[in-house]
Amino acid sequence: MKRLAAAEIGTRWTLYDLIDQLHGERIGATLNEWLIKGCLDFLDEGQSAWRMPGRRQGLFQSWCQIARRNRRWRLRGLDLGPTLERVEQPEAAIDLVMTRLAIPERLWMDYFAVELSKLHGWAGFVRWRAQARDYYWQERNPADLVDFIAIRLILSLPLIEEAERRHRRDFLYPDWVRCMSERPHECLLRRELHSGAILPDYAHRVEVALDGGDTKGIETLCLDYEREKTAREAASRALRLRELCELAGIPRAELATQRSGALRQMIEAVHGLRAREGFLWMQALERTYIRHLLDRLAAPRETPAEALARTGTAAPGIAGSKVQALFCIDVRSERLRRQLEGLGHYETFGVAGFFGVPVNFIELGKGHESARCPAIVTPRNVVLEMPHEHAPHGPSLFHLATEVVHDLKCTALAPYITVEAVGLLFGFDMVGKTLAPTLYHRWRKRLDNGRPPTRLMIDKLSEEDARDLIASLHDELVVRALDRQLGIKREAVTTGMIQELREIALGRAAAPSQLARRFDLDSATETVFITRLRLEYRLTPDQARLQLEQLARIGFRIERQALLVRNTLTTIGLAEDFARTILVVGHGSRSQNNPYESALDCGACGGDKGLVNARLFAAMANRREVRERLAGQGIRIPEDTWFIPALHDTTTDEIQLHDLDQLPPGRLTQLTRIQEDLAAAGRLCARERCAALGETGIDSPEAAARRVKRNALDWTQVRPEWGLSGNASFIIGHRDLTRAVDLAGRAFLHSYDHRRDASGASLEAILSGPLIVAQWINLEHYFSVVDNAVFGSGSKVYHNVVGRFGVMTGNVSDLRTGLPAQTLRQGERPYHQPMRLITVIEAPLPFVQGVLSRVFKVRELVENGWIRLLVIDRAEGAAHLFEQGTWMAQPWTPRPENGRSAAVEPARRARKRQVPVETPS
Amino acid sequence: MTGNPPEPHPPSPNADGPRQGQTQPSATSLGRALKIRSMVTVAGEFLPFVWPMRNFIHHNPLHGLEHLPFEAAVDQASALFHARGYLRRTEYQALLREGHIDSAVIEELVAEFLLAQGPDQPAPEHQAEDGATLDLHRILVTLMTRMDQPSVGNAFPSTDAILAQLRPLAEAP
Repeated sequence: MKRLAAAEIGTRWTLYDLIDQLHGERIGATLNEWLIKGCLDFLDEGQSAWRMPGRRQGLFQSWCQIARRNRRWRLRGLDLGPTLERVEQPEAAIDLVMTRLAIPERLWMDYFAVELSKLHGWAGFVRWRAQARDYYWQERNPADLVDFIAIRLILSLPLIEEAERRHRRDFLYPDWVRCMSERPHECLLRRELHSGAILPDYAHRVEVALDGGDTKGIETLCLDYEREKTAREAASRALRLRELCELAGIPRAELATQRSGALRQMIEAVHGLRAREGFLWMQALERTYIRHLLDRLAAPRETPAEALARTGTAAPGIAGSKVQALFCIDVRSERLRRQLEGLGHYETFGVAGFFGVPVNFIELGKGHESARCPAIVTPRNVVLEMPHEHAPHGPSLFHLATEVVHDLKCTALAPYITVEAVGLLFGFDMVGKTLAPTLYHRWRKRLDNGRPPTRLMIDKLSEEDARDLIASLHDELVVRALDRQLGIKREAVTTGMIQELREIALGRAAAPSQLARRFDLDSATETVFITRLRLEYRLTPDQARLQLEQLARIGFRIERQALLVRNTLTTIGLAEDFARTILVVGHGSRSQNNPYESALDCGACGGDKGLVNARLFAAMANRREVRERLAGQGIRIPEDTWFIPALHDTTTDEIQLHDLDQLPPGRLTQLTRIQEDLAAAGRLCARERCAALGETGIDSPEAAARRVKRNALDWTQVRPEWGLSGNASFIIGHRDLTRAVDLAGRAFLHSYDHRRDASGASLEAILSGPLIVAQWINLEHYFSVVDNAVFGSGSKVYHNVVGRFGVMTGNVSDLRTGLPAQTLRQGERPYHQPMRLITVIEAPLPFVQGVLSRVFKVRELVENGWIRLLVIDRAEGAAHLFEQGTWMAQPWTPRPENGRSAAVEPARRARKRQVPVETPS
Repeated sequence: MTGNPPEPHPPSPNADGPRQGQTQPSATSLGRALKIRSMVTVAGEFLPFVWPMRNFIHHNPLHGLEHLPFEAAVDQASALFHARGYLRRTEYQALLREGHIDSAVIEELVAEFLLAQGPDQPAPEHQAEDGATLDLHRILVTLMTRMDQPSVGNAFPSTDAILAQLRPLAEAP
């Protein structure tokens, strides 16, 4: 039997783990509960009504203040006071406790890791927070892992000391080392007893012997116990092996004739397989999938020309006949793309759903920026959403807008800039809330009742415009301050007076002001007013400078817009043969009462809906100035080509077109048909989706569409859609490779044409961006399904939203990470099939190897087997899989490129052994 | 457990031991504090980030172990988080029944596994013929595809102990 090893103390087990295991305590559970409560109070982001005081000092300091007064602990006889008195910093606390526990310093790092693994959800959140730049709550209430561990250690100390008193033993590190080396038998029996693994008929004897404390007696009993337990375990293993051999067609009589050597070999082979069985199963799943995929990619299919002929649509090239559509690479786009193309005259492309436009977005009415791009990208530019029209609001929030418009009439989007919208950028989110609550609420209500049409401010402001804008904002603040602080209305003052007050506040003019003379204010009142302008309304030179810097982040220069559009178009191989209408389709999900709704949105847009990026890309690609620059680089987008943004609702498969008001009127008539086609394709997708969701009684696409819509609005629905569940592959290649292949909504599809990418730069970008995101998605699903309790988040049914940032199971639990059971499992069975991302690149192998050598991270992932890489070269008719450090040629014969007549290759062929073609890249 | 007799190591604070200086104020120099901080930072590198769920970010829970081969990382994470790294055998068997796993692939993988075990392993096709050795390939494929219980559990009582249980049945020397 395996005995406890001293080397595991501090590297696998904490000291209190050993007390729990060998003395039947529950220190670990108690510690977890106390630490979770501390984290809950401190990390709360506005959910609890009663806030923890002093949070701005940081996690450790504020927790210490509360801990000193915790009566519950004192009642239990635990007094943290003396320890807390002696440490002011978390590092000192760690030092103190680790020294007190006498843990050698060489083990500290391992010990910290074991401590952190106890509540990896909470620790992971604190770790994320500590490195998140500009995270409001971290800036306000800072916390890091040093605080976290310090608190855990401080709490553990009195609990360990309490156990020492109760058991009249020392539980420090050297005591445990001594215990294991001098009294291994006692340790073994104690662990057997308290873990419940003890043989029932031995339980009483063991307990009595341990209580008696006779070392010799314990040793004798232990040796007897070990012998007996080993014999019983061996008997049950032997029984199973006999059953196994019988199942394998080896009767007992035949087994009995075997020599010891053969039996030994069999026992060891079975045992050896145990360690690798899970890995083998996963490989089996992957290999089966890869073979089926290769078969389907090789099978003869309808060409685009044949599809057009079948559907009776005009041949491509005839003006107006073709519609192109850019979709996100998301697996849920695959169905829609296939169904849409099946209708006849659609050509679709796949690209990461932020369409290559990384941006911080400030939504109308929201006071913060949200990054709309993959988590691995840090956006530099900010885009504001501006209301289209300015509805009257009495002495309105918008009444100054006209002045702004006047000042900025040269800017393309000037009519849409409002002081409020720009104010949001400066953290004046609460301009309405603090200065005009009633109006603010009315405004919010209007936003909530129906969003006004908006435009996105995508262009850069000139410095002069920016200065004018800030001056206007400041004037607006002066007007409000006058009204609120002095009761002076706008009509009673002149623009000159307002500007003078602004200049005084900014230190560019001196009091007394015209206003003071006009309203006969004494100098004290005027000084108080100016001070308030500086302190409360932030009218200071420093703020003005910061605001100017902030404004410089707004929008994109034309050159940058052209670059972004060009990169996206060339990456997907769309550099000529543009259709008149090109849809840019972002996606988002719709469900009710679902804390995980964001997990169903677009991962490439930072877990948000993809519409903003689609609108930005379309707006940029429609700009004349952008097209002029693109034409200079060889990408000629015809004048009558129009990019139209759209949103694909992945719960209902409805597609809504946006920004139609910006289309030339002539175009609107053609849109009706496109909208009908999108609706038809959506209904066909809904039917597929209903089958996957196990919905019954669906006899038509229309019925399916009704059912999925109901799911989206039903707030008791735990599984509005399967989301990305089922994802298995990532195919980087021309759509010709996958067109008309039913990939069952399991493949990420990225359009790519290696013939247009001589340098490999586009492939490099795809590998280092979208592939990494897809790999994260894939492995999040993998681990959430193989162990939903640890890596996933368990059943949604028991979830409680905490602190507005996460969920726990029940009242107290680790912060749940990963995906809920309902996303991955269907009843008792896994719906998601866990395998590593099968990544297919359509390009010559040496070319892929060259690109791979330049992308370290992806190469590491491939070589370490986190991604399965399959390279398909259609021109050569070859496929190579990277396996066990080698590229293995796969049996594969593609369909002929020119139609189906010559393609008679059967779907399944006899397998040949895989042939390694070369050594590791 | 109650009523423990006095222990062989009664709790007597050792004057030279770690409990020394309990009444001294604790002072940690800047250098020492930085050292502790860096130890915590490195120790936390295995931890996956947890983003606020307003914007759920899919990520690899084993991101901190990506420098290791997948299989080794899964083993390490299983020990660290006390977690499973693969589905249960019965769940894979269900996938096999539904055709998501090809039984021929299982045969191939078991053959590859046996080959990797060492050159002294007899080739599968020669095993059963002379009756002297067992068809390990067939046994392992059967284990994977038809046994619903782990035939060898976590406790492995040693080859000899199991052999001793099988031996009474074996008549051959």
